[in-house]
Amino acid sequence: MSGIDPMLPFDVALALALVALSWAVLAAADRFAMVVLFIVLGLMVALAWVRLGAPDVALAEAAIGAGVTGALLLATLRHLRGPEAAPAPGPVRWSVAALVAGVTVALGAVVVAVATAPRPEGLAGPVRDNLPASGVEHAVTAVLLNFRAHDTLMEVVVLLIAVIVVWAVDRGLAAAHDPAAGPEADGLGPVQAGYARLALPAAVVLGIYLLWAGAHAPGGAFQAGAVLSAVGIMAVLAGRWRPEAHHRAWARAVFGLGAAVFVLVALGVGLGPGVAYEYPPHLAKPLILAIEAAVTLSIAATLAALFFGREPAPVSRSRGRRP
Amino acid sequence: MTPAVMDGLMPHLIDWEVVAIMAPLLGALAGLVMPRAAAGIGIAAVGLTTLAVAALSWAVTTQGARMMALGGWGAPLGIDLRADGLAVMMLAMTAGVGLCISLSALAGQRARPAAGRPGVFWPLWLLLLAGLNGAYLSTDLFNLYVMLEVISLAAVGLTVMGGGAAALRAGFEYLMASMLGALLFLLAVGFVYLRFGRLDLMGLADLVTPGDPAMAGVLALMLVGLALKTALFPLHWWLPAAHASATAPASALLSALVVKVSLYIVLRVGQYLVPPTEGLVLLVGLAGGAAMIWGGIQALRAERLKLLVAWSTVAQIGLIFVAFARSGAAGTAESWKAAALLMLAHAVAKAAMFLAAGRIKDEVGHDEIARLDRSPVRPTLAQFTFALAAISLIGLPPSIGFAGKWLLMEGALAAGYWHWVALTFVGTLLSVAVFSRVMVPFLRFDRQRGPVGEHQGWALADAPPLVLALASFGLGLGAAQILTMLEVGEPFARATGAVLGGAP
Amino acid sequence: MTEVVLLPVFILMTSLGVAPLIFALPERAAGWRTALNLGAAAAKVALVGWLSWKVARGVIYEVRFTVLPGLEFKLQADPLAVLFIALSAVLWLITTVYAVGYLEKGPHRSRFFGFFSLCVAATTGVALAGNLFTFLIFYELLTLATYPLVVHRGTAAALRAGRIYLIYTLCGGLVLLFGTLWLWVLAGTTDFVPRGVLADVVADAPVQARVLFFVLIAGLGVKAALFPLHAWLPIAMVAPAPVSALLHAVAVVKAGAFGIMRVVYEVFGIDTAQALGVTAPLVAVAAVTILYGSVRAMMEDDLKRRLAFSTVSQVSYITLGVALASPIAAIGALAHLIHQGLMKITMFLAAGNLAEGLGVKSVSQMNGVGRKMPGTMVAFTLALLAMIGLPPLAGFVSKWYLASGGLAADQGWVIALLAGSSLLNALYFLPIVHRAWFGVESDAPARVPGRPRIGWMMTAPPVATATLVLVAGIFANAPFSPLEWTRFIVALEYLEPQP
Repeated sequence: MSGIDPMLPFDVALALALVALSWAVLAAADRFAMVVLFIVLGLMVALAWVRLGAPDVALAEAAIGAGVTGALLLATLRHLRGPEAAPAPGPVRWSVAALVAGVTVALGAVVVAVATAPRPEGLAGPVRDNLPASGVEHAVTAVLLNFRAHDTLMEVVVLLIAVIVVWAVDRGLAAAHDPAAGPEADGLGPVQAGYARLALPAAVVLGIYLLWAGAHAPGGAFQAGAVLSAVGIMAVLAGRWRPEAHHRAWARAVFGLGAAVFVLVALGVGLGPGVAYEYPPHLAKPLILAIEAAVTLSIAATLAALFFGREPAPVSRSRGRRP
Repeated sequence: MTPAVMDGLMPHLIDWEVVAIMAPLLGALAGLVMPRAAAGIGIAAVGLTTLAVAALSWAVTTQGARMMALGGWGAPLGIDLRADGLAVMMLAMTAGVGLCISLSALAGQRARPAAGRPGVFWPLWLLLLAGLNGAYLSTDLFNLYVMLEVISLAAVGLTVMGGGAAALRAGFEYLMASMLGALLFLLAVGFVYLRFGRLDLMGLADLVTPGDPAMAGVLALMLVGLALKTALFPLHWWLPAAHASATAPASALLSALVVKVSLYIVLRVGQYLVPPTEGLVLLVGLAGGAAMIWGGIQALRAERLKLLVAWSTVAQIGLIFVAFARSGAAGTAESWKAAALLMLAHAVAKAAMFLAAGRIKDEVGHDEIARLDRSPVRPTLAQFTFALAAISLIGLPPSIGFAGKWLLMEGALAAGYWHWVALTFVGTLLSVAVFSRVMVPFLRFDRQRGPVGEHQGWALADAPPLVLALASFGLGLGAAQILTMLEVGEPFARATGAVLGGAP
Repeated sequence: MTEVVLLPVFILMTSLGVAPLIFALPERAAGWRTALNLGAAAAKVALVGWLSWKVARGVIYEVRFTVLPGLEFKLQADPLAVLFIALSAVLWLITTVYAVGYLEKGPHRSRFFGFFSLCVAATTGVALAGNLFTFLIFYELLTLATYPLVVHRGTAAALRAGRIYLIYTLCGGLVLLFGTLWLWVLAGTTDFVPRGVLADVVADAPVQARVLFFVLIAGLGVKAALFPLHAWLPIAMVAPAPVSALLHAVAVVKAGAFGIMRVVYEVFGIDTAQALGVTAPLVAVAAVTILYGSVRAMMEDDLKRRLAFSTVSQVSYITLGVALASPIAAIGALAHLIHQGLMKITMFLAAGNLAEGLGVKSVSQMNGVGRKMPGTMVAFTLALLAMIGLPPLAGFVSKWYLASGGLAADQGWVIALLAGSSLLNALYFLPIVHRAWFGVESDAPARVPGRPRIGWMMTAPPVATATLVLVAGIFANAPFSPLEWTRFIVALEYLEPQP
């Protein structure tokens, strides 16, 4: 590829937007604005990844960077209402200035240099060559669950940590007030409730389909989990199901299920002649599907719990009680 | 396989690397499902991890660096784990310090079950441990990013776990800084992938040419991201509040272990991706020097013990960067060892100090420095531990902190960089002033009401920090062995080669 | 003949290893603590006796291991080390007996004796250090171990004094650290070798070598209380009597003076130092300190402060003798290291008895104390007279050698200096003797009410050290006397080393 990339203006704009957003995140006076900007920043970075030719990374980043951390930040934010933070002290302003200056220069240099340089083929070749041995037909799934399964396991772990943290936050503040716009509000009209009743089975089917399709077409555990989590969220919103304290043990088990199955499979195949994550060729497909199924369940439960935003605790008894 | 990899893919009976990552992960999952048994499971998992790390260290020191390809694919398609001297030191440091902190947390939770929150602490800490071990063994940029995510999120969880709005607010700031740092790092990783089409460090090392402007920009992005995460001045604003408002074991983990992983990645980046340039090294050193001075001044002004200790972390991180810069770009082939030794020194001593500060706070009932000498309760063992840790952080012989500072100044003097020596002395004097602020009231007895006993406030929980503090001295006397071990697998062989062959 | 045997390690462990045990003992276990303290001190004296016997036969013990690449932790029992270690072992035993009596029923005894042991361990390490790097380790340990002793009373005044002490000594330690580092970078070794290791460096970079010399002396001079770095010493007088005694006679100031000896003789080498022209300024500093300390001592009424300024003056005799660069003066310097220790410890122990038993803290209160505490005051008087330089006491011996050394080095003014200093000594010491024995009290109860009775554990130690002052003077030429031993050392430093 010679000459100037036609996408260069877009890349430069994207880079500048990233800088502006990072600055805005650090400088935002209002914490809520800060969080929203952060979510936007995460999406922009995901976009940058697409431009960089790595859609799989982009998906993971969109899920983790924007979704999870945004939810986490919002969950934290709920408890910071009240005394608004004092204006940023001097050192913070310096560091913001230093950061913005550094990042601007670096990004400018990188974008120009990378855009004018020849592009290497990347990993597409090796992925194509090894696809038959991976047990699945779709490249992204092969990368996520076989070639770079270690990364994916750790991304599942990130989600798990997120839900542990969100639960920990609420339990840490015995005096925390209820989620302001929380799902306990029974403000759903009959239309929404009816819609939920119709949509729930469809969403379940869609989620399972995405999971299956991940083996040979784009899709997979993260997307399927996201769709299935919508099921849980809608069920809660429609008042069809309400998280109770005695659900906690089950919930924890489901949160951990995906990572557990993943780890056990990874270690189990390592007990044989291979190393960890080295699936025997004839078992690769079923093992990957098993992992995906478990991970999908965990992701669905985790995202729904993140949306719900706090650990369900008995209403009548004091929330100060700890397990 | 690239020529940079000199150690072969030898078959091993047990892949201790995998055990070191998976054992804490499984322990966390078990602890999550069984919160009542979390403490027992946690100690068992940490113990198993420590054994795995010990076995791995033994294998590496006796047989040389080792490498394994996860899934059997091998880089660049798959992810390789590599254990060389530097990685093993970091793993051993994490395991040893982590074990002591675990025991201390256990003792604390026995005494105060509600405050310790075992059901939250153990899963988070074990996941953090898995992330740390994963990062030290990683050879892949994207994998490093994912590990950083695991580590930062777990660290934020440990910060807010202490409860209270202050902890939450601190955790929020921490989360913002950490995530922003991660995003910048991720962007840099993306550019590397775009430029070279691969993410494995060793493969990249062969492709990168010195003086590539794109790589200079990438390096700057990475450095800013990592500096945010490790709280290098002036990007340190989030650290003091976060480290000061967590519970004592959590503070110890954050200060001793979590900030180290970003420093470690800085070293690896300098090793594989970009041979550092003179200007960059100077910049890093100056930021480090400013951190030493600013952190010291702020610690002098801190009113609470834990805040003082947290500010001293800012100063100590500065010192580590000064060590990296001590003899210019050409010297980094040796300077990284001084930086690594100081990382170890800080990890061991700061963990001891935070745990001791927590013990003092528990026994006295508060941690206001100005009122410490009014208390008739003197937890002498915790105070003694604090003093020992302070000696190592100040850098007095024969502690490991001294060994690190000696290496720093020796290299700087030999290369004629007197300003780093002067800066280090200023930092040392500041830290003397900081810690004597705390330790002088320990010995004052005319302001309290009632008699003061000699052995008050001794508890089993004093043992782990004391062991850590004493370890600073044992390690100091064994610094030569540590340096020999660091060189296994020649972590910086390439940097040396590049300097000899490339730079004028 | 060099032997690698663990004897030096055992000697070090008699105090270093005992310290944690003492720390761990509960406050009530006074009997155990005393037994442990005295047992360890006695064991140390015995081991040091054995060591001196072997070293006198030409054996040199060495223990070493590598701490940093090329840098060794090295313990080495050479004759110079034995000289200092013997002093510290004997005086530790005596001071421990005294301290047990002094602190009876006082608070924080576990802590006190723990740091006391650490302090002696540090002194032992300073003595046994085989290179400047090891010396530095113990030099810093000495600072840290004595600080809690100085502030032992825990009052605001004690803490203020402690802070000044800490600022001076830690800064001195850092300067020494810098000097050690620089020496290592310049010479590639920090070993103590008879006649020095720096001859080559001096030839290449004389300016750097000169600066290095003064950096090292400045670092050591803080502890040796060289003018103008002496200000901490009189202030540190708030410490309990046994601590002051140890500080002045054995531990801190002596560590500084001993370090100066090591640097001049075994890092630079006396010939090299003289060729560099750095000994003359050192002589000048020592001379100024001698006179300044004496003049200030005259102006003090507080007994312990007067003794402290006297120490400032007397310790510089050692530096003077070293810097004069004549073998005979060197004999005087080394002998004075011991003699001053014996004399000064007697005085401080006696002053402690006066303060505890009678509440007498200043010279003007001393009228007639001789009749109330005859044993203590006889010892005190003997030490005073020795310090002035009355023959045949120990102080006379060292002054004699110093003066002869000055003559031998063609520095006749040294005799005038010593005579002047002796005169000043007499002026500030003799009034004490006069008041104690001939002074008339205005109103004198036999015992001050509310004051504890001074038991034998506090009376016997000054008497014992005063006896040693007498013996060291009278039997100066007997084998194993301090003087004989110093001749043995000086032969090593000034003549070709024996193969």
